[in-house]
Parts: sequence; structure tokens; C-alpha cells
Amino acid sequence: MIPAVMLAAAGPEDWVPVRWPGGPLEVLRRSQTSTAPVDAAVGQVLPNWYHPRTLTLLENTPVNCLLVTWSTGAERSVESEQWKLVAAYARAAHQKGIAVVGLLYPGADPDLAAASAVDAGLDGLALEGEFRGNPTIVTELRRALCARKSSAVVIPLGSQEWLRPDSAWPILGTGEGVAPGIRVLSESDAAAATPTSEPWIDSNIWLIRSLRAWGGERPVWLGYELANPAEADYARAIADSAVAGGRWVVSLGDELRAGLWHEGAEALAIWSRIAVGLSFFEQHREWRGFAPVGPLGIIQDLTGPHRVISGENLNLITRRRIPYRLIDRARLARAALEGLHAVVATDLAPPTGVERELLSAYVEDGGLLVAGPSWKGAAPGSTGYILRQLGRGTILAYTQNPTDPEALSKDLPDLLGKENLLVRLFNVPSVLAQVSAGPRGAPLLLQLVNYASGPAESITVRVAGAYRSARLFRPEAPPLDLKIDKSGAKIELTIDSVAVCAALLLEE
Amino acid sequence: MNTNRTNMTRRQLLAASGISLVSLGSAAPAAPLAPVSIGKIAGYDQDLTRLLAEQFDQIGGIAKLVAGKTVAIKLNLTGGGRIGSYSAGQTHWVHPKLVGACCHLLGRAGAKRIRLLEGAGRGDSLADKMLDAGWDVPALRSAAPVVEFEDTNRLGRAKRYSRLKVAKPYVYPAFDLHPSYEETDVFLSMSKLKHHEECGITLTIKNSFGIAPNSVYGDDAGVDEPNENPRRGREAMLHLGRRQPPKSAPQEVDFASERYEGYRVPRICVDLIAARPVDLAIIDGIESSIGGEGPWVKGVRYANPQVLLVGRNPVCTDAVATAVMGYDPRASRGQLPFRSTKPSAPDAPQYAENPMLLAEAVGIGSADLARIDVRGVPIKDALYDFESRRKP
Repeated sequence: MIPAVMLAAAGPEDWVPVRWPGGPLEVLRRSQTSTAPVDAAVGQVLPNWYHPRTLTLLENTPVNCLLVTWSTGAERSVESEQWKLVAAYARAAHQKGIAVVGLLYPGADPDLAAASAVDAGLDGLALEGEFRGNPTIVTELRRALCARKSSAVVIPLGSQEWLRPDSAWPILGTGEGVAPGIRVLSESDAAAATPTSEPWIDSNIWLIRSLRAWGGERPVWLGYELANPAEADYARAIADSAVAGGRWVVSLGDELRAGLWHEGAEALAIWSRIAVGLSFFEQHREWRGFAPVGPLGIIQDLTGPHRVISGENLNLITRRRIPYRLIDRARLARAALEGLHAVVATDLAPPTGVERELLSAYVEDGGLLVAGPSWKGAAPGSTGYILRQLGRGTILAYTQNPTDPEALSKDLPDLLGKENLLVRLFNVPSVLAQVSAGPRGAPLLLQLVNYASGPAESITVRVAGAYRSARLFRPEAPPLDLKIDKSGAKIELTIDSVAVCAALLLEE
Repeated sequence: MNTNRTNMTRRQLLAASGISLVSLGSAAPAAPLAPVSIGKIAGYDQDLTRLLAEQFDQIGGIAKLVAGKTVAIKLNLTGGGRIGSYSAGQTHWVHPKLVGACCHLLGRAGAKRIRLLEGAGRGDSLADKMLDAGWDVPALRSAAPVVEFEDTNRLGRAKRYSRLKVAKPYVYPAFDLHPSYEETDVFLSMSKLKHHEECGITLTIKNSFGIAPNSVYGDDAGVDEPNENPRRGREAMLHLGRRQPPKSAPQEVDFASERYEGYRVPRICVDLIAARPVDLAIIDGIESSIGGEGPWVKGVRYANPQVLLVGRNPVCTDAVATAVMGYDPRASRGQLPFRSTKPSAPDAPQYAENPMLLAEAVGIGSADLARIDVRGVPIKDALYDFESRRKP
């Protein structure tokens, strides 16, 4: 048997995944989890989904990896029927250069699932949901696959707690994440969220950045599913992950899939636009390699005692649109601190001697260190923070442990000085941004995601530096060169409208 | 500084005569009067410049007032945020198109310099605050030969605060204000026609609350000196009187006076318009909000009164605006609209003083509709009943 991954055109690092559940096992699973489609006509599509004609939907799209229903630990007869069906489907998919990954749910037998996956030529197995009752399943799966000399990969799609930086997983995935969008906090007459609302933005940008900083070069997948998605929700979920360098495992609603099955014009049009959204980021895949830039460095320790707080810090700082670089604690070095106005080190609780020495040197050279109470000089129990000069720089130590993320994110723009933020956006209540740069710091890339249901308009962008060209990329329109207004050491330009996402490439 | 000479003379006369303040609620025949123009317009995309020009003409024209002069405009850009699907200018801020039309007409009338004034957010310039609301700042800058932007919440590039005195003070005998409020020939207040959670309504008089710099009157102002990096509002100091301004600034007349904000805030606003008299008042009621002064007030909602008011006297203008909102401008404290809608303890006071009567009592202007010359659209035709449109 030829290994499936050799037939698939791309390796895991280039997989563009879509959830593609179906078959009798999926029908059973949905029934057991009370998630079966309410509409019987829609439900009838599920058992038939692995007909070869659904593969034609993938033509002219960048999708090259299907996540199929594989094992739930159901009765052997049902699982066998499923495996037989999927094996045939996988063969057809492979002929089109499409990888197939089997989804395992809690209850699945790892040895049996691995054996059947190898027999079916699957390219990998993804662990969906909580496997708390079987914490060693990953090891068992890998062992079972290795025993059969399979190069199929194992992809976690459960809790983040599972993830280990030293794991051999080629993809860091999690089923966690939020459906991106905005929540209007003020009461209003408006029924829908709009860019002019006062929103709380639900985004996964911080999460992907956190995992990427932690996991090195590995791709990051978010496997959350959307509840009753509208068309724009797909595009937003794709963009929300992609601007941060990750991938959302596209998950189609039952009704949309039923529409696709019946070749409905509206469903096909939506699918086509989803493909446009995916293609946009695949056409610019080099952006994934751009390094985040900004005046702020944040040292992250996901193995520390306050992982949730650490994540909330990133979430809120992202929402404040402060461009930042994440530094994984294990990679903290002098070079990682170069060029930063300030470094947040509240995750270092406490810092080691080496870390303290390194950060002290950074401060003495003129930097601002934002630390927690474990940094000497802070008085536990008092409120706020204390400031201490060290050399040419300053140490700001919060007195509360753990540091209040809301306070930290509110204080940072003042501490940094808004004029030092590198990039400032105006009139963007519903927009979050990702700032990164190509090799050697150029070009500068500003990616925007609009989380509102209507377009974000009249956005002013102010960037520190001298740039001679600014080109705007949007999935739905050809590239557009924007007029640059120079103002001292900064430039300003206006983006007329962002529907869901846009990227601004600035060349010096 | 060109103050309102007529007002000052009457106030001086009042002060010199030793006449005690008239009882609130009864008409004050001595209070100055000026005509007020009401205009109706469907929206900001209509010919706003033409309407505003007509309204300026209806109150006697502005050429004599502004030609060759510096005009400072205190805008109402309170707080941030948005109400539902509407821009800030459609609900709780004055609208940028009205500001642009006004600047254009002032420039056309010969104003040599226009300064847009308002407190900006932490670390932001006023122009940045406008940009952040989607305003076309370059267009505004080019609406007249010289249009400048000044954040008056702190000293900024200015060297010192201007001390402006209050002839007959209620709470403060004088204020330390940004010098832009003194170094102007004409002071224009542009406010929004809307409710206010603590004071009932927000019009021209209330708009002056924002001229008090946070550096001096903010809750994190220094004990001895202003704090030029203010990060907090004026609640503890001005609303509730829990602390005094820095020692460098004038202190309250009576530290033992009532601390309730419904009592204090209207009085402080009147003190402020006495310290920095308003020469021209514009109230933007084309689109607005009901139920509060901004999106942070629970239940606040969009309104579409389609009215624009212009007058030379802030009290007269506010009185007519109050009537357009469907209220009695001579209502006593505690009567609608002068009551707080803020959630409070059952035994806590709920009233708000009527600032127009307070201002009338110290001779700034008349709140007596029977005496005010209303021009343009009659009040009955401009009426937009705010109270009936409150969210139940």
C-alpha cells in the first residue's frame, strides 16, 4: 500500500482543513449527542455525504484536507461500515491530492482506530473532544501507528491543556476558541451588531498567537464549530485565524451542506465565497511567515500557575490594538528584547536569576519592564503598581498577584505612549489588527479583521516610519494602491471600507 | 477677551443694586433676552449650511460678531462609545457635518481663526478623538481659513491656566481653565439636544461642564498642583464634592454646602457659563438620543428630532430647546425633566436643579418663553416629545 501522505499533494504544514463529517457513524453520533439536524431532509444528507460527488465541491478551492468521521467507540458493525465507506472515499480523495484525517471521539479504541486508519490509508487521526478518561490515548495512538509503520499524523483538537511544546505533533490544534464576532454591550434599537456599536470583540487572534509562539514553526488549527452560522461568519472565522498565522478548521452548517448536496444555487454561492476567503490567505501564504512587530514584548509562560490569566492578558491587549511580540519564556534571550519599548513579564512569577539579570540589563539600557509582585520592590497587598528607576529605564511592578488583565491592558497604552505604538488605527470599534513584517523588518503588513455584521468604514491608519507605497488587499476586490499622507516621522492613510478582512502592505 | 457686554452690565447692575436672587421658578424680568431661531431639517445630508446661515441671519447675523475675530467653539463630544448602529455624531456628540458647516459659515463671515475645543481622551489629541469617531478631520481643517483643534482637558502646549472669575458664584468663585477659553473674542457653545442621567437634560449650559479641565478638576488632580496626565473624570470632585481642586486653583465658596450631584452639577455649570460667557449657542437636535447623555446610560436610545437651534443667549436658547423637547423650561427641581434617572437608594434624593432658572437668577439670561423672541419654525411645529419616547 502506498502511504497516503505521498499521494496527498501537501504535507500537514500546508493542509487547508475542512470538517467533512458523514456516514452512518456520524448519524449515530449526532443522535447520541442530541445534535441531529432538526430538519429530516437535512438529516438525510449526512449518511450519504461520502459519495464521490461531494469531492467535486473541492475543485477550484484551496481545501486539501478533509476531517472525516472515523471512530466513536460505537458498535463494531457500525464502525466497520463507516471505515469501509470512508476508505473508498479516501481513495477517491487521494486521487485528487486531498488528504483525509479521521476524527476520533471519546470512547474510540486507539488500537482499533489506528489499525483501521492505516488500512484505509488515512493521512492522520484527529482527537476531538475531551479524552479525560483516557489521558494516554495520544501515546497509544502513536505507538499503534508506528507499529504499523504508518506516517499518519495525530492531531489534537481537544483542550489546550493537552498541548505540550515538546510533543511530536506536526500540528498544534485545539477545539477551543470562540466564534468570532462582536457583542453589543449598550442597549439599542439596532437588531444587529454594526461597526458603529460599542462592542466586545470575541476573537481568537490572541490564542493563535499564543500557541504559535509556544509551538514554534508548527501550524496551529482551531477546531471550534459555529452555531447556526450566517455567511459572513465563515469568512470572519477564516480571517480571524489566518491573520494570526493559524487555520480555522472550516466547519459547515448542516443546512449549508444539505444545500450543497442538492446543488442549490445559494449554497454553492456561499461555498464559493468561503473558498474565496480561504484562497485569499493561501495566495498570500508568505504572510504566515511574517514576524509580529510592535513596541511591546510579552513574555509568555504557558506552564506557569496562571495560564488563564496569561491568556486573558493577551486577549485584552489584542483588543486594545497594541502591536506586540510574544516571547516564549523558554526562548527568552537578549536578542528577543531588542527594539522593544516595554516588556511585560507578569508571567514570570517569580523570574529565575538568569531572567532577572537579563531583564535588569534591558531596563538599564532604557527599557520599561512591567512585572508582577514577585519582582523585588513591590509591596504585596497594596493596590496598583510601583515604579522604580533602574539605570536609564523603569521597572513597573504591579502589587496584585496575579496581575489584573483589565488593569494591565488599560495601563499599557499610557505607559507606552500612544505615539510609540508603531501603528494606530482610528474609527475601528469593531476591528482588530495584526501587525507583522517580512524578513529584516520589511515590508510592514497590517492585517485587519472586522467583527461586525456591517462594513467598517473610514478607517484612518497612522504608522510610524517612512513608507513610499501602501497597497490594500481584500478578498473581494483587486489590490488597491492607497494615497499616503506624510506627517513628520509618520504616515497616515485612509481605508474606505473593510467588509470582513483586509491587509495593508507598506513598502519603504 | 470679548465677553457679552450686555449680560455683564446687567449682572453688574444686579450686583451693584444689592437685589437678592429672585426665587427660582418665577420670571426674572431683569434677565437678558436674545432671539432664538429654530430650524427643521431631515438629516445631516441635507443642506445644513444653508439652514444654519438662515438661522444666523434670523438672530441678527454673525458678521459683526465674528469678522476679524478669533472664535472658540466648545463642542459636545462627551465620552466615547456608540449607541447601537449609530455614529456618536448621530446620538450623543454634535455631528461633524454641523461642525463643518458652522466653521465654513464663520470663515465666510470673516472669522480669522476658529478653534475647536473639547477634552480629549487619555494621551489623545482632539483631532485624534475625532478621527477615532470617523470624522473627516482634514475636511474640517479646510472648512475655514484657519481651523485649530485643542484638547482643553490639560494645559498641553499652553504655558499657564487662565483664571476666570464668577461674579455671583454658586459653588466656585473662579475656575482655572485652558487659556483657549480666555484667548478668544467669541465663545460659541455647540451642544446636543439630549437627556442627561443626573441633570435631566443636556443643552448649552451643561455643555460648559466640559470646559473644566480634568487636570485641575479631575479626580486624580494633584493636591497642590494640576495633574497634566489626567486619567480620571470629574465625578468625585465636581459631581460629588468629595475633594477640592488643587491648592493652586480656586476652592469652593462653601465646603459645607450640599454634596448631592443634582444640586451641585447644575450650579457648577452656571458658574462656568458665568466665568466664560457664551456668545453664540447652537444646539444640534437633528439626530440625538433619549434617556441619557451617552451609551453608558442604560436604556439610552436613538432619537430623530430634526431640529437645530441657534441663539445668542445660552439661557434663552436652552429654554426654547427645553420646550422643543416637550418640557417646561421653568419647571422646578424634581419636576420633569429635572430629576435624576440614575439608579439610587430609595431614600436618596432624585432631583436635579433647573440650570436655566439658576442662570436666570444670577442674570445670565431669561428662561421665560413668553419673553423670548422665537424665530423660524414655531415651537409647536418643532416639538419632539422626548419624555413619551423614553424606553419604558
